This record gives sequence, C-alpha cells and structure tokens, in this order.
Amino acid sequence: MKKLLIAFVFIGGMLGKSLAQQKTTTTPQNTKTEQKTGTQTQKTTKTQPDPKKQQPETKKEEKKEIKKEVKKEINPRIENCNPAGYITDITESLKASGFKFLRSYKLEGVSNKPIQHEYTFSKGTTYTIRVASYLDSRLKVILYDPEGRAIASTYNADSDKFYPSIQIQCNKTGVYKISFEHHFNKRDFCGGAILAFKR
Amino acid sequence: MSAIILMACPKSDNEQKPTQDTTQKQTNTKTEFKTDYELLNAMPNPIEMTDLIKSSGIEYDNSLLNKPENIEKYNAEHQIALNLGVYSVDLGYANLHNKTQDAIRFLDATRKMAEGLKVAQFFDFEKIKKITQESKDMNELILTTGLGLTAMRQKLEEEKRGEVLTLMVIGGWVESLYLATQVAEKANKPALNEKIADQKFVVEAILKELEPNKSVSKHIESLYNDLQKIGESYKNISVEPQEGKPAKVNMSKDDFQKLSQALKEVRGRIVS
Repeated sequence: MKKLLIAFVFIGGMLGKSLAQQKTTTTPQNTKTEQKTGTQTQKTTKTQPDPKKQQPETKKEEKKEIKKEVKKEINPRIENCNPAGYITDITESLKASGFKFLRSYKLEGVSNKPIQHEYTFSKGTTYTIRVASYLDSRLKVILYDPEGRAIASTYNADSDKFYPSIQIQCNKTGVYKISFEHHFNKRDFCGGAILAFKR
Repeated sequence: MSAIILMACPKSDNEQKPTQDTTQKQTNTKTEFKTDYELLNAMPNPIEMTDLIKSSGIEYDNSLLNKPENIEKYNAEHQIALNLGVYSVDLGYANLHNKTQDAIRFLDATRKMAEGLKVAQFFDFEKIKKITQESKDMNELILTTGLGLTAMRQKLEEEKRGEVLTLMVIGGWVESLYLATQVAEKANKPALNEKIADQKFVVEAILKELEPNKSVSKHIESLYNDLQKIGESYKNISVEPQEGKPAKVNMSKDDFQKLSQALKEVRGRIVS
C-alpha cells in the first residue's frame, strides 16, 4: 500500500451508458429461455395415456426437468456471452482518456474461482483497469502487488458500491495480479476488461 | 533423467512412418516446447518502451528500424515469429512519431509476417491503414493495433502454438530495448535509463521461459545463448527504489555500453 497511490476513477458517463445498454439487450434473452421451458413443460403433461409406458417416460421427463433446473441456475445470458462486445464498449471510454491500450481480457465461462491475469507494471507509469460485465453479476476487480497484497479494488466496502475502473500510479516495478472476482457466490462470468497506461 | 527419456519418446504411432530414415527419426524425437503462458502474458507490452522513447524528445530515426524489404529473408517459422514481434514494435514507433509512410510500410511487413503464421485474419490491416493515412487520433491507432495483436496472441495461445508466441514476444522485447539503448546513447535521459535498467527483471523471466526449452531446437538454443549474453551484461545493473525519492539506477557507462553492444549483436542476428 505504501508503494502505490491508489485512486478510484468514476467513468460514469460513457461506460455507465454502455452498461445500461447491455442490460437492455440481454433482457429479451432471458424471456426467450423461460418461454422455451414453459413449452417443454406443456409437452410433458400431454404424453400420459399409457401407465405402463408412463413410468420410464416420466423418469426421463423428470430428469429433463432436473437438468433444466440446473441450467436455470446459470444465467442464460452467459450462453450467448460476447466478451468482445464489452471490450469494444470499454475502448470507447478509453479513446478520449489519454490512456494507451496494453491488454484486453475476455471474461467468460462458469467457475467458482476468480479469473486472474498477471502483468509487469513499471515504476513511474499510471495504469487503469476498466471492466464491463452484465449488471447483476457484481463483478469486482482486485489488484494485487508483487507481494500478494490487495492494493486496489473496484468495490468500495465503505459505500458498498462497485466502480467500472481502478487507476494506480506504480511506484515499484514488478508482476502484479489482476483478479476478476464475484462479490457474491456467483459462478458465471460474462464481460471484458482492458488494461491501459499513461505516463 | 527419466523425464528426459520420457520426453524423448515419439508422441504417437502416427508420427512414425515405416520408411523413415534416421534423420527423420531424429526430427520426430525432438522435445516439445513448454510454454508458460502466464509468464508470457505478464511481459510488458513494448508500446510502453516506445512511448517513453517518444516522450524523451529524441528525434525519430528510421535507420534504427528493421527494413521492411527484409521480409524476403524470413522463411522459417521461427524467423517469421521473431520478426513479427520486431515489425510490430517498429510499427508502433513510427505511429507514435506520426510517420505515416513508414508506418504503412511496417504495417505491410507486419501483415506479411502474420500471414506467414496464419494469424493475419485477426489484424484489421485495412482499418489501421485508413486510420494511419487519415492521421486520426493516435490513441485510436494504438488501440486498434493493440487489439489486433492481442487477438493474434490469443489465437496462438488457443492453438497451443507456444513457441511461436514466445518468439514473437521475445522479438518485440529485443527490438524495443534495442531502440531504447540506441536512443539513450544519444541523450542522457534518466527516465529512459531507469526503464532500460528495469528490464533486467524481464530478461530474467525470458531466460526462465527458454531454459527448459534449450534442447527443442538449434535455433532456440542459439537464442537462449544470445539472451544469456544480454542477461550477463545486466549483472552489475540494478535499480534501487528509494522512499520518497527517484530510484537510484546503478548502471555505469561501461555497463551500459556492454548492454548496448550485446543488444546490437543479438538484434542483428534476429533481423539478418
């Protein structure tokens, strides 16, 4: 902590807007999946005439239902996740900021573990990490210094708020870890992030 | 010892044809390149170095860069990969100095190298060319180029082409450090000197990546030996962080000359 100046940056305007757009575009996908589920449930009730055959059929259907339930736990938006779209949104906010692009990170898949990447930060350089993901994921970015100490986060515990970026001025060259983690016990990732720098 | 024996075994029956001669058998028994993708992805992007060179105020000098005509020389995959890294840095250097004509020539060279590795489809050359010609916003140019290079890297990683990716990263790193030392010879810029000294950390990481791969091929062994020379020239160089003050850079003129000379030789072999 002593080696680094940490500043939270609010990029509410452009990034906030794009996040809102992401939410709007993903909502219909939710509805579609739920409708499909409804149709399939109706089919199950129609196929009941032969009680002898019914048992194995019912078991099959039950299994199907269980599968559907498990599938329901994973946000349907993840299935059609497009991390490149999120990255494009972030690049828009980067253009006028004076920061130059270094790396982009695709955040997708289902995992209980955080998605982690490393990068060699150089002393005297200011870095920003900007993240975008579907709104209800409560995804946070935590930056760890070469000694493994958490030195910055997009989540502010005092205000219980999530921010779309962090910015740090590096005072010690070394390999830093960028960790993308869910604040709650979610396991589905869908988003993108960008690491950029300026002198 | 047992690990070496195991790795020396052919990977599958399909790879061994009954009519193979001894030479071919030797080729098939070569060890596989082990890649530490985490380490590669942690390597600094050379654009940080070229940006610092630009901000040092030293005039643009295209005689320092690899000639785009040299693409004809690079036929082997390892040469193409190394020089894809070299040309992408030269492209960034020309772009940062707003040298449109040079930038387009380096862009074409980068495209040829990328085509040679079958990853050109991830780089939007036409868009980059258009931004360069229209002299649009510099950040947009760097951003579009950077996104293309990232997509290429991701594709190489997905395809498990670790050796190609490693060589591309090394080529870019050597070129950026070579440019930095050449510029630093002309003017004493403390920030640039510190950045050069700080690269000791990177050469150590590269050597760590290449060390277990020395036996993969002659060119990897030769590259490892070359990079070791760069590593040795860093022996007396260090950066000491100081609380509340600029860091103390321990790099004598003699140390710098040794490093600069080693880089000149290694980079010369990469682009020749």
